[in-house]
This record gives sequence, structure tokens and C-alpha cells, in this order.
Amino acid sequence: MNPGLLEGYVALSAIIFAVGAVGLLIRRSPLVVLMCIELMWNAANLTFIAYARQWGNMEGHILSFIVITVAAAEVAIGLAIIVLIFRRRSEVDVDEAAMLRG
Amino acid sequence: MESTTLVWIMLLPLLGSAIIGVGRKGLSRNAAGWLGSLVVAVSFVLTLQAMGQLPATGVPLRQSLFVWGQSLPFELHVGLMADALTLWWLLVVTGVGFLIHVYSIGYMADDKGFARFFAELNYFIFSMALLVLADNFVGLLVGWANVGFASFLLIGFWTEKAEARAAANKALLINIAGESAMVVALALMVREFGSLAYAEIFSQASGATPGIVTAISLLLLVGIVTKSAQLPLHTWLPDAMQGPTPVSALIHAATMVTAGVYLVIRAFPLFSASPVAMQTVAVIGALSALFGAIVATRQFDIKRVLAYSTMSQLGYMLMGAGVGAYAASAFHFFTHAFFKALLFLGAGMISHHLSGEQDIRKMGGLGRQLPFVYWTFLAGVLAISGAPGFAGFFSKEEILAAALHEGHVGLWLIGVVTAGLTAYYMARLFILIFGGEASETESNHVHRGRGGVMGFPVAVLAVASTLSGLIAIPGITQVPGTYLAPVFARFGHEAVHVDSFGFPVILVLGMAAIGFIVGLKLFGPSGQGRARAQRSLQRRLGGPVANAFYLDDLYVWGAASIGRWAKVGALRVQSGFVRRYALTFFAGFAAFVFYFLLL
Amino acid sequence: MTAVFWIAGIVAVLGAIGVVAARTPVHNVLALMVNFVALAVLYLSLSAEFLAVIQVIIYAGAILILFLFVIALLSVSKMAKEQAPSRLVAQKELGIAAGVVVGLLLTVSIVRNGIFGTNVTLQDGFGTAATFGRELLTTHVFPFELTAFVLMVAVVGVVVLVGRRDS
Repeated sequence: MNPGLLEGYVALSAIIFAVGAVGLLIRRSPLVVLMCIELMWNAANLTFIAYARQWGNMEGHILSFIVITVAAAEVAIGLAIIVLIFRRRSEVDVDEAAMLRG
Repeated sequence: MESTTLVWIMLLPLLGSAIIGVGRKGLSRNAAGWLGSLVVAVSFVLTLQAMGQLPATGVPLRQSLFVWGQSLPFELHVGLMADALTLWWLLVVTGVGFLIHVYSIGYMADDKGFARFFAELNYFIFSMALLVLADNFVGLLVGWANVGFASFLLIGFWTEKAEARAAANKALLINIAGESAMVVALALMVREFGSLAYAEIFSQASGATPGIVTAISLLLLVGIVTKSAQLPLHTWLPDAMQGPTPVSALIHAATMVTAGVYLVIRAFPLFSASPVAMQTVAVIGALSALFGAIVATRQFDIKRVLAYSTMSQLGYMLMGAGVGAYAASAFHFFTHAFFKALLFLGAGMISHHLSGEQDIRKMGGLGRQLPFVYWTFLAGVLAISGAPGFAGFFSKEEILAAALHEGHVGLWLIGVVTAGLTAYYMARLFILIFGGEASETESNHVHRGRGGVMGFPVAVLAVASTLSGLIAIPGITQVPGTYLAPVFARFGHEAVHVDSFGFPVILVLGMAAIGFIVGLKLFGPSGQGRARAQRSLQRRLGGPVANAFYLDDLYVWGAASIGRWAKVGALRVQSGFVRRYALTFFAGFAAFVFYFLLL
Repeated sequence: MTAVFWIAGIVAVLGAIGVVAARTPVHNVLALMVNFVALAVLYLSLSAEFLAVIQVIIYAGAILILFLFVIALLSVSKMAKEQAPSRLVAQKELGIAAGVVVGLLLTVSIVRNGIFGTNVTLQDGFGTAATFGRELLTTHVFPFELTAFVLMVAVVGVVVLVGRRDS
């Protein structure tokens, strides 16, 4: 592999991560927030796989696989919570669910 | 030398606590009380046996238990260790502990939490035994925290009393603050010595970085100050008197509060490697001695007088340890345990007689009604005042003489003034309770018939308060000094000791005599003190002395202000908006990336 | 190789921006799919063929379908319109700023510090399902079992959360 290219992969992952973070911070629809979290998961996975290629070591792949599994679990739970909130309110806005106030 | 006895000394009270605690519904009162007393008595006998096993060379008895923390950069071999110092403490803990258990059978007879009381008392004895038997700082800290928790349980024993609950919380909070400092000290020890075992740390102490040793000692001192109720963190001790009187006698006078003194003596290689720390210990001790004595002169609750007096006497012990007179300090602990427990138990009998009254302004003329209490209490008063021949005389004089011998004239002077004040407030306490006319408070005869079970421990303690000083008459007997000498010799030290008190003893005695006579005159039949004191019943006492120099109010105010301020701040941060939380999170994340990857 | 990286990389970033910018939920999901597929291509270029397949099947297949189901289940009109002004002061500006700062910091530190690791020649079968399976079921069998447990907890959690009829 082109030696400079790995840095490119990791930098790309950083950019996708940052875009996901921006979405998480500025969007108010819980569905979109959840999708942005998926973006950030995937950015992390890209790093793992890039490094696995660099080291010739499969452990990065294993870790990515576990991340994918956990992400699936997280989406399932997250969507369930969204459905629950939708049942109680007519419109859902992340800022409306502010009952954690101290 | 291996010895399983040590394990039993510690485990028997725990076993008793478990049995009484679990079976408290099924056990009869007598069974719970006597079982609780019995296990402590057996521990006492085993302690005596261990004293017999202890080789004259001073090599400690050991019992290794298990290896803790194998994943840490070092291994900690947890075990029990008993040298002369440990056994010295255990002797008092189990001995006085047994007497107070027996006393409690009578004192608590009508309490609905009778069995719970004994379970908690036994748990305390176990924790205290663990504290002194540990052969490493982790074990010490575990015991230290457990005695604190036992103290919390017992101060708040009467859970229906709001004051008792508040006092228990206060004691626990202040003690945990001290423990936190000790945890930091332990972390520093790991860093500096790579170990937490006494033997390894103490043998390296003199060669360690002076700054670190000072830091460790001062951090330990924070814990010591909280546990032994020294300035400025003493405020929990007077409030702790909300607990039942046997608890005040055992935990908050005779044993637990002396854990701080024990730690100074146990960790003497650390402290003596740091002149700053030693100086601080001595000065804090002397100031606390004076402070406690001053405040005690204007208290009217019998137990509060005794509480401040405990603070004052603990100050003497720390002062002694701070000037290097470890054996004298341990000796004063020994005698103090007897006479202070005696005074508290006497106070318990008095307030029992007066249906729970504790205000000495409402007492008087009890000498004729309670002759037994009168004579035993007198023994305690004379012992604490340092009357020649009584126990307190020898131990106190030894500390003062050692301070003077080491050239600490200022500390010595403070000690002398304190001795005078001590005699004064004890005389005042005694004459207000027993002298004068019988007051209108109705005596309560319900408790007659249990006199034996309460009287026996008091009688034993009275004899001990009178005679136990004779084991260290300068130039004649030297029991504490010679017995404890191997503890210090192991690490190449020798405790400061004096062969004779010399002429300054006259000065101390003179001060005490003046204080005693002034107290008797002022509050006796011819003095104005009693009348004036009784007039003050109507109003809240003013003045800095009666209010312990407002330190407590200052802390309450400070804590409340910080709490209010923190609440305002926390409410602003805790907005409930998840996106704001996420923003904060990312800001922190950016800061971490900046710090670790770019700087 | 370099061309694949640039094309797939740009598509992935565009997809990500689409997720953040699109206003209609279905468009968000489609943009996310673009991102996932582009990532799968990148995985292939990194010799991670098994994970590329997994990426398409599980992410683009299962998880996105789950999103679509939820969108279909709930009427689109209920989605937050994000028209009304936010109750949070300057959240949008600060959010963008935070994202940009994080992205810049990460990128700069990558470029400045360089990347550890040596460029090794790959062993035969690197990234194939066979090698992956052998690793997963021998060396890493315990984490594998743990993920199974996590999935089970998630399934139970979903049933508990949504399966209950509100009274």
C-alpha cells in the first residue's frame, strides 16, 4: 500500500467523525441524531480496518465486527425509545425531552 | 512467629456480632448481652495469651492471610501482626471493651434495640482489633473506616432522635474527609516505597525523599486529626455524645478516638523522619489540649464536659508522641482509657438516676443519694486532674517532663496551663453534681436492682484509675517503657523517656492544685458559681468559650454557603438539554485531543 | 488504488454531509446508505473483504431497513420540523464550531504526528471470511460470546420497552 495513503484513511475517518458530531449537535430530530451516531461508529471502524491493513493483523477486523454488533444493538434500543416517545407526544424534538434537568 | 491467636482475637467479636445481629429476634436479652460480653472477654484472654507468646526479642507475632492486588505493580501480602504496641492497644480495647459490654447489659436493659446494640458494639471491637492488628496500611485503613462506620451506627443508635441522626452524619462525614486524605497518603507511599507493608515502608523511611515523607505524614495527620478530634476538625466529638453513654465511654473516649495516637506511634519511623511533621503533631496536640480544656470550663452538659476533656487528653497524647515520647503517650492512652471510661460510666449512672437528665445545673446533692458513684467518680476526677499517686498523675507528668526534656518549653507551658484548667473544670463538674442541695429533679428508682451488673465494671475501672499509674513510677518501675522499647528498637529508635520528673513537677502540681481549689471554692457551698450557673439556665449561653469559639457555627455557615453556591452552579449546568451535554462533551474531547496529541 | 480512495472517500464525505443536511427522513436514510456503501468500497481497498460484505449486508441492509421501518411506522408529519427557533442559545453555531474544531484537531494531529506502523506484506487469506472466522472462534471467542450476550440484552430490552401496551 502507498505509505502515505494510510494517513489519508485515518484523516478521512476523522472528517466523517466530525461531520457526524456536527449532525449530532445541530439536528433536533432523534432519528437523524441516531443516524449521525451511526456515522461516528463507522468512522471509528474505518480507522480499525486501516490499521489492521497496516499491521497485517486481523484483530482490527474483530474489533470492527464487535462495533457493528454493538451498533446494531444500540440502534434497536434507540429506535425503541424513539417509538416510545412518539407514542406519548405528537411531535418529537430532542430538546423537548429535557426531564434530566437538575 | 506465626500465631493463629491473632485471627481469633479479631474474628470472635465479628462472630458474636453476626450471631447477635442475625438472631436478634430469637435471642433473649440476657443471651444477647452475655454472648456479646463473652466473646470480648475471650478476646481479652487471647490477648493476654498473645502477650505471653511474644518473644522477649521483640520479633512480632504474625499471621499471613492472603495476597492482595496481584495485578498491581507490587504485591501486598495481607496479614496480621502483633508487636508490643498492638498488644498494648488490644489489651485496653478488649479489656475496657469487656467491662463496658457488661455495663451495657444493665444500662441498655430497657432499650428496645438491646440486641442490635450488642451486635454493633461487637462489630466495633472487631474493627478496632483489625485496625491495630493489621500489618500494612491497607488493613489499617480498612479497620479505620470500619470503626468510623461502627461509630456512625452507634452515635445514631437512637434513630428516632433527629439530633442523634445529625450527629452520626456529621461524625461520618468528617471522618471520611480524613480517610480521603489518608488514601492519598497511601498512594504516595506506593509511589515512594513501592509497598504498603509496615515493615518495608518503615525500614526505608529514613532514606526516603524528605519532602515526600513530610507530605505522607501530614496527609496521615489529617486523618489522625479527624479521628482523634483534634483542632480544627474536632467538632464531631461533642455532638457524638448523642449516642448511648456506654458508646461515648468505649468509642468516643477510651478506644476509637485514640486510633490517631496509635497511628502516630505505629508510623513513628515516617513521622520521626520529618521534623516538620513531628512539630505539627506536637503543636496540634498542645493547642487541642488547651482548647478542649478552655471550652470544657463553660459547658453544662455532663457528657459535653467529658467530651471536650477527651479532646484535651488526646491532645496530651499527641503532644507526647510529637516530642518523641511514644511510650509516655501510649501510657497516657492506657490510664486515660480507665479514668475516662470510669467518668463516662459514672455519668451514665447519674443520668439514669435522674431519668436521663444531663445538665449539671439541675443536679446537686447526689453525694448522699449515690455514695458508690460519688466515690468512684471522685477516683476518676482525681486521676484526670493528676492528683499524686493516681494514674493520670504519672502519665501526664511523664509527657510533660519529656516535652521539657526535649526543650519544648512552649509546649510544656501550654501543658501546664491545661493541667490547671483540667483540675478546675473537673472540680467544677464534681462539686456541681455531688455538692450542694438536692435539686428538684425527681430521682428514678426503676433501675435499682441492676446495680451489680453496672457497678462491677465501674468498681474495676475505679481501682484501675487509682492504681494503674504505679506501673510507671519514674526510677522505680518502667513497665510501658520497657515493654514497648522493642517496637522502637526494631527500627533503630528509642522513645524519649525521663528517669525522674524533677522539680518542674511541683509547678504542674501547683497549677493543678490551684485549679482544683478554685473550682471547689467557686462552685462549692460558699461560692457564687452554682447560683450564677443556675441563673444561666433561662437563656442561651453567650460568649466564645461556651460556644467553643464558634468554630462549629463557622463550619456550618461555610458548608451551607458552598452548598448554596454549588447548587446554583449545578442547576445552571444541569439544563436537561441532551444536545448541550453533548456539546460540553465534545468541548472536553477537543481539549483532550489538543493536550495529548498536539502539545 | 489511490483513485479508489479518493473517489470513495469523497462520496463517503458527501454522504455524511447529506445525512446531516437533508430535511426529509427518507433522504437522510438514503444519504446514510451512500456513505455506508462508499465505506464498504474503502474496506475492500483495505483488503477487508469479509467486513465489506458485512458492512453492506448488516448496515446498508438490516440497520437502514430498521430506520425505514420506524419512519414508515410513525407518520412523517410527526418528525420534528426544526422550524421553530431552538430553546438553546447558539447551539447550531457552537455545534458546527465544535465539530470543525474536533475535525481539525484530529486531522492536524494525524498529519503532524504521522502514523505508527509498518507496511507489512499481507499473509495469504488476510481479511477473508475463513481467516476472520478462525480468529473469531478461537482467539477471540470470549468477546464473541459477549457480543452475543449484548445482542440478547438488546432484544429483550426492545421487547420490554415497546412490547408493552400502555394503559
